[in-house]
Amino acid sequence: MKRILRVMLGVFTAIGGFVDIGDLVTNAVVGSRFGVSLAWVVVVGVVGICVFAEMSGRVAAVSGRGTFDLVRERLGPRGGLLNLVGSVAVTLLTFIAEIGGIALAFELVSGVNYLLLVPFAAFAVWLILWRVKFSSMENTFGLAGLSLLVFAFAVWRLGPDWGELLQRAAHPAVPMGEGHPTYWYYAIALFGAAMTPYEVFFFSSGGVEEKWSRKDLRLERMNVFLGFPLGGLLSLSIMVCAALVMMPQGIEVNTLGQVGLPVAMALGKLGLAFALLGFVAATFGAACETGLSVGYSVAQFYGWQWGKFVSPVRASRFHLLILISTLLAVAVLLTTVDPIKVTEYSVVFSAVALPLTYFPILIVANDPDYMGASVNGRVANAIGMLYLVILTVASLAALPLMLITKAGQ
Amino acid sequence: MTASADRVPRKPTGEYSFDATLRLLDRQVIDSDGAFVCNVDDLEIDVPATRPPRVVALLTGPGVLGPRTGGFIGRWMVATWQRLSPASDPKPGRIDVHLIAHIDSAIHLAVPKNRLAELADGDEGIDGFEKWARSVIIGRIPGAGHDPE
Repeated sequence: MKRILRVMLGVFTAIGGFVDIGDLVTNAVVGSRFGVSLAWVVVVGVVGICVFAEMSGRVAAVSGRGTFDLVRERLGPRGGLLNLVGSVAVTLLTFIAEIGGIALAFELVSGVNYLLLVPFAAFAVWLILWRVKFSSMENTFGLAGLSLLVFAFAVWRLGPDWGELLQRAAHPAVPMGEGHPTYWYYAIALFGAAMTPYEVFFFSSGGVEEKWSRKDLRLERMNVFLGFPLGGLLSLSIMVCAALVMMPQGIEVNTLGQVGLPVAMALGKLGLAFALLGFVAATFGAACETGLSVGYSVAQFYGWQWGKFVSPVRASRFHLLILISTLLAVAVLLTTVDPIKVTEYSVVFSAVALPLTYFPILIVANDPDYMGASVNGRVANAIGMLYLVILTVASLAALPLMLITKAGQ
Repeated sequence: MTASADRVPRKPTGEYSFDATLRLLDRQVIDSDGAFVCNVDDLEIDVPATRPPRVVALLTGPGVLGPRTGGFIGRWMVATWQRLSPASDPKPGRIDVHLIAHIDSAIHLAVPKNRLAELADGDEGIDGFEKWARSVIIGRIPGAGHDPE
């Protein structure tokens, strides 16, 4: 058990990246409209986030520096500030959506309108960030989030024709009735979700919170290479569930409730209970991850004390930021804006944030002054360079595609 | 200077010479207790007539970060800082280089951060916002003084 808990940082980070409220619904939407023809994007995304999260975690373990520290150090005040604005916007929008997501998940359980639940959800998240130890937080929500594996079990119980499924995933074609721009819009949305910048901010700062050192590099790699592929698996399972159940019926997914339908069909009430527990844990986890990431990135940019390894009075500005973000989230959600739509707009800001986040990581991971003997190998550099190109293309294409397709409609 | 000691030649006078822009600017400053103090937002450089220029202090705060950011945003940062600061003529935070114990991926000081103001003749340029946030908001919320459980 102790061994499992030691890789919880990777699992927890990946849940926040791959199956937060926006992604839970997007995965199901993609499955119901495009089948498995976009499954390859998740695989591409998993490889990319693994390579860069490994670099950022390695830098954190060897030098004790969180990722935004490096961003500021390598891009200077101007470039750093531009990235700060972009990534805080992405992260904050996601944070707002997650608090709405928790409320939506509880609406499914209780039947109470989610707007009434928003203040309670926000208070609960703030209390966790204020009071609960980092490791307790990641273990609780990481483990509970794994109940989303029920989607993988449901795929197996639905008994698809595996050969045909693989055939379709390996030879992707845009389905009838869908345009190419829409296809590529969703491809970028899935890729952006897999590589969203707050994952590396959180993962590297989490490494510092857990007091990783050079000795923990093996542990750091285990976290990366177990956690993120697991996140990808959850994402794919939800997609395939929707592809098997919704797509043949022509049902379009719009709400969180519909995401759980295939599980209910395949596994009955017990399965659905697991799915609901998974929704609650994943949205709670993602809310904690994004809320802390806002604090981590701003505090590291300015050099303030941050982290849950000290008491709140010793990191007052960091906790003040979290408090303000939480109040802002409640205010925004009570305007009755759709929480799931909120995450779609964050794509716009990731156009700025993605290349400006991953570039400094690649540079510092090659700097022997920081890394000593633990600098990047050739494989990591080659893949890292390739992904920087893909990231730049994706970030440039994101906004035009969003406008052309009216956000994937 | 532990990580790069083999590559940074030490002069007979005991002074180091290295690329200050790369090794000092925008780095995290950490005190002797391991607490994060600030980022190095700018450097104070002494340029004697007869000797090469020398870094004498690390500077921090919006007052020096603003000009380095430049443009409208930079001016706005400085103006906001001047308006919000309790002093009529606020000065940026200043840490003398003699207080630096060693430099690796961060700059480590030889003193704890609560002694910095006293060592700088009562200058409150560092941590003003932190103290304000603590006394006005965060310190008043129950549980603020406890480590997370």
